[in-house]
Amino acid sequence: MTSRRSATARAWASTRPDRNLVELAVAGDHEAFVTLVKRHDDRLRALAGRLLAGHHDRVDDALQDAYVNAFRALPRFRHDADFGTWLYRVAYNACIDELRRVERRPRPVDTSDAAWEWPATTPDPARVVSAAATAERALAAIPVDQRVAVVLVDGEGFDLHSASDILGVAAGTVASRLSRGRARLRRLIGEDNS
Amino acid sequence: MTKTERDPAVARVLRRVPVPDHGADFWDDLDRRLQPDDGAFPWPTETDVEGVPVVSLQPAPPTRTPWRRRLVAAAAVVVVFGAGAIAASRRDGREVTPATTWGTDTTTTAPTRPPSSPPGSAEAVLLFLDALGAGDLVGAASHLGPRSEAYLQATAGSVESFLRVAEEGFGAWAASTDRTTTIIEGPGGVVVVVSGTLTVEGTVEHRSDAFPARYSPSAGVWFVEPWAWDPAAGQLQVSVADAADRVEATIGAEGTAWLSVDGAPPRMAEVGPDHRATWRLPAPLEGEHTIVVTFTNDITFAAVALHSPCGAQPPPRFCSASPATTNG
Repeated sequence: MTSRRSATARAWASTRPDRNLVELAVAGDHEAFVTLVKRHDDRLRALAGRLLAGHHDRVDDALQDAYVNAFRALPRFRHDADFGTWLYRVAYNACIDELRRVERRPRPVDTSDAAWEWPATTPDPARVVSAAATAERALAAIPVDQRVAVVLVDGEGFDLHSASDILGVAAGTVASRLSRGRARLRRLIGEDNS
Repeated sequence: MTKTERDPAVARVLRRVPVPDHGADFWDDLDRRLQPDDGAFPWPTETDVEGVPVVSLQPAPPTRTPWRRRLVAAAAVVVVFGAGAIAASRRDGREVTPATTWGTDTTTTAPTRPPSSPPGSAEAVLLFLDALGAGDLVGAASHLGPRSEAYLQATAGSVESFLRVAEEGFGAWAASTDRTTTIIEGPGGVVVVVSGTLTVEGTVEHRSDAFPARYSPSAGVWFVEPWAWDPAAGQLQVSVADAADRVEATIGAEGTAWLSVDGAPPRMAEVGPDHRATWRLPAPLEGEHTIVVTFTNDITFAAVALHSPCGAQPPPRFCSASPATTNG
């Protein structure tokens, strides 16, 4: 029964194209809009959670702003563009705005803390928590422009071209930020020799 | 590995970063911020899709009556008139005769720019009903419009679970051998009236159900909207006066209602603060008729169909019904 429900739910979600929902939302149907953003919410929440590493209390605020801003901007959305990519850009901008509000100066990160140790593969709960804290703190320690490149490409699986569309910068710029971000992240988690 | 490939080690680190769950009020807050009556928020206005009505999510969904009980209730409340003039209907899309012109009291005129006649709407409704009857919930769901989807998710918890229940009710239309469809075009969309003989739980009855439908230009398909309701507005209730010369509709909201008798062009009536609309008929109804009343505003698109005679019982001769009993 469970698998049938899941399969049905997936099939159901796939029956309504984004484009149709965008059209309804532009006409003022906010339920169509909510359906639309719920379709993308998991990935956008992951993006926001990683961009706002260390400020998780701000994730809901950033996403709320992102969705309201997206709804407001829908009439300007070009239908030949990919809605998901466009929504990523709106969410990215909202996260940056949120970061500017709460993080006027970068917070110091203690890289000497024992928590930076890379955890063993044994799923010891304490170490899992430690790993999560380590990852979050490492991510929070790299500059935002590098962080977002890492999150989009390594976290969300975008290629450079799509990431450059979302960020509004050249693909070469994304590649440069990605390279520096990866190196910095590896150093922070002690994997620079891997 | 090139720069454009995903770095698996970094990806592992990123997966460890905890992603906070939504706050308990996240979606309610978003819903409120998107509401048009929030003065701080302008609605997008660039295009219009045939005056799309909207179903709003309500935080306190009403309790829904089990389908079997609603079905029994429908059989109990829908009543009959005598014999008489008949009008326009279609058998699965084929046009028949046009109908009578009716008078009204609280009305304005019918819409000056009705949408073009859309036989696809009847096909979509029948495909929806056939899928329900076959137990193909995915197929049925693919014909369901976003407003009904939103309402069912808000009130029933999930579309699928509600459709599974609806298999027993609307799904009975799949086995009807004499069903006909009548398409009525009005402001806010199209209503497809399905009439015919049904066998439900061993009982044979002649029935009419009204299904709002809307066309999506971008998707190029018709969506069926049987549950595009606002829970806060309550049910659309329709009754016919004792003398069968007046039809009255009540609903807990303001908007526009229209009446169609036997598929005739709709007669409009505004539903004001008294939450009531009344149509005076040019002559008392006699014989078999199908009365359709539809209510639309910026949230709801609900329709009720009354078929007469609707049962073998003698008077009461007045019909009354609501979507909750006849449609849901």
